[in-house]
Amino acid sequence: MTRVLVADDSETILLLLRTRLEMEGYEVTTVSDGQQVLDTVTDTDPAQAPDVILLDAMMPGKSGIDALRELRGSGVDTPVLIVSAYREQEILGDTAGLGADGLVAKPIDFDDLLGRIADLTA
Amino acid sequence: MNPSLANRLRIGFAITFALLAGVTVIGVGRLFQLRQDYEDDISKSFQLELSAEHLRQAFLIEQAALRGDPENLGAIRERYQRARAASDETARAALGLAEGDAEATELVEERTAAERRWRAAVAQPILRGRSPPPAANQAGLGREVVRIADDLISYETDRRESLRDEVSDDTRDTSLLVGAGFVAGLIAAVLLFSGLISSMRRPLEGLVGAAGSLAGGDLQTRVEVGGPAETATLGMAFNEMADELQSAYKRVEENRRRLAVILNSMSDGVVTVDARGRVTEVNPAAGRLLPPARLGMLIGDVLVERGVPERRVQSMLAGTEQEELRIGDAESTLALTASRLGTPEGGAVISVRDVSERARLERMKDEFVLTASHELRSPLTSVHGFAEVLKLEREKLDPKHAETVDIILSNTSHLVRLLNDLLDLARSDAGRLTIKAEPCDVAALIDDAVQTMRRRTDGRGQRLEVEVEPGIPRVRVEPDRIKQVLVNLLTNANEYCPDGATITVTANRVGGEVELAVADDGPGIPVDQIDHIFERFGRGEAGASQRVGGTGLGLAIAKSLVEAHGGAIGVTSTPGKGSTFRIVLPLLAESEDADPDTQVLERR
Repeated sequence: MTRVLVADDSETILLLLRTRLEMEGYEVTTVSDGQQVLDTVTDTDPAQAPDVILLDAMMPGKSGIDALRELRGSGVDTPVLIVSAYREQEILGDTAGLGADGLVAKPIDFDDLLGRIADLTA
Repeated sequence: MNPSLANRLRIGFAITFALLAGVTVIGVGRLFQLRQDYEDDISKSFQLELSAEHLRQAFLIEQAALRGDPENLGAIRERYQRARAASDETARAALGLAEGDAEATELVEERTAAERRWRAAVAQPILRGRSPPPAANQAGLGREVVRIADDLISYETDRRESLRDEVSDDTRDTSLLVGAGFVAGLIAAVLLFSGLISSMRRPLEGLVGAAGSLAGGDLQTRVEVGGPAETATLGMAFNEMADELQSAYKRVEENRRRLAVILNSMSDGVVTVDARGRVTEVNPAAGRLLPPARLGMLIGDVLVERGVPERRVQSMLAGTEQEELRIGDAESTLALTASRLGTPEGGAVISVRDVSERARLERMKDEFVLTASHELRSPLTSVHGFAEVLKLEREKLDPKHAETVDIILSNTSHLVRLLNDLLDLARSDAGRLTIKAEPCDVAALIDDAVQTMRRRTDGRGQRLEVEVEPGIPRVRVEPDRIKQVLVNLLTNANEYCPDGATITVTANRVGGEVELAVADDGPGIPVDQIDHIFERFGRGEAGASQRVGGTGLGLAIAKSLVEAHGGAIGVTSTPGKGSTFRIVLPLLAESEDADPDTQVLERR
């Protein structure tokens, strides 16, 4: 079963993503800031490690962008999709430079999101 | 009113003529008279002289008559009587001729007396046969008579001499008098005319002087009205003209003062420049807002120093720049607008307004819209997402609820589009719309957009045709943005046109630009709406908005995007016949220095 780690500071968004992804048959873990993402990735048994990570760009505490930078800095190459209310290219440019595998704009187009997750975990 | 100059001249000529004519007539008459008298006198004098000669002869005959034979006394007497009668007759005639001349009369009478004495002393004794007086006595008395006649002759000779002298003197005197009369007449004429001239000269000199000082700016100048009718009329006309000039100048001056007060009290700056861009006027506000602008400076220097491109300054001064020119920073923003003065010398008036507050509010608004549309995204994501979740499980819902979910989904979709559009516009307003331009093939751009739309046009049975001019050069644009614009135009055509309509996309090279056009044969745009079509929510009435699904922001975004590329967008439409939207994009070669300020088409 494909594991998806989702990080967002909004409980509602987390609930929505969990609901939709589970409906699609993914195993979903949700966290609410960047630090928890790092903790989850390092603490988890490699066999149970997430196959794809959805990171909200803006979160209180450690942001998704910061978390991505640190993940890539520590050699983790798990595919990462940045979820952002900002569709702007400066963020896409930054994220691509940081090693993100794509940008998903809010409001989320689930057809698009699911397609990309499928591509990244194929 | 004084007599007119013409009348004065006429009178002057008449008087002069009369004077000279009078002098001439009198002079000539007098000369004639002198001559006549002289000739009469001379003729009388000759006659008298002749008469005196006759008297002499008559006396000689009388003396001779006494000689002869004393015996024949009868014959002597008879002869003597005849001679004496002839002599008396001659003496009477001489007396007649001498009438009027006292001396001649006296001489004639003296001679007659002497003759009488001779007759008494000599003739009577002889005639009576008595012995005559001694011969010496006889001769003395006879000589006396002859001498007096001789005296008369020489008197007359002398008299003629003196008459000649007299007449010559008189002629000379008369001539002199006539000459003097002429001279006097001429002097009178000269005085008359110089009087006339001086009567005109004073008013004319006054006019000349007044005209000079009027031209020199002294509008108080008036002339004294006087002189002949003509100069008086001229003077009055001059004064009226000066009055008019003064009151016109007063009005102008009042206007100028009023304008100056208005200009000086304005909070907006006003700068006027001549055709070369040199500052000719600057009000206090402009001096404050746009230091160091002051008289005589080149406005270009002032503006270029503030970071305005030289080219924009030029187009502003030429009056071709219709956009407001903004200069300054976050702290202080000035808006400059220029209008041509329209005077033959050229030049422009530039108004300078401090729009710092407006710019600050606009920035706040832009930031607010950006933030608000971002903040709306998360809740909207939830609403839309959960509605989708419900839709995925619609078999578990009763049909009424399933329909409700569809409504929620369609409305949240609309909200999402609206938010995206608002965000695009807010970004453009905030100056955050960045274009990542790259050389693009025009045909490929169109093809991409057309492929996106094909399903929807087919769905309504609309024909979607593409005509691209062969060999059209590439353009430097960001493909996604131009595709967004084309899709927007095609979506409008698709939604506003009836089923079965024809939509044509064309691309042509026009001068140094590429023109993309989206034409349809739909209902067209109502005349009262076409001017507002590129404004936000500037689309048609409620009827139309209910029929179509757009946000009302599409064309405003399209305009922002095209202009951000240095291009322009415009529309022409005939109600009932269709509409054509045209996008003009700079060609690749020229796009390197493409200027996003060039806006031409949208103003048609």
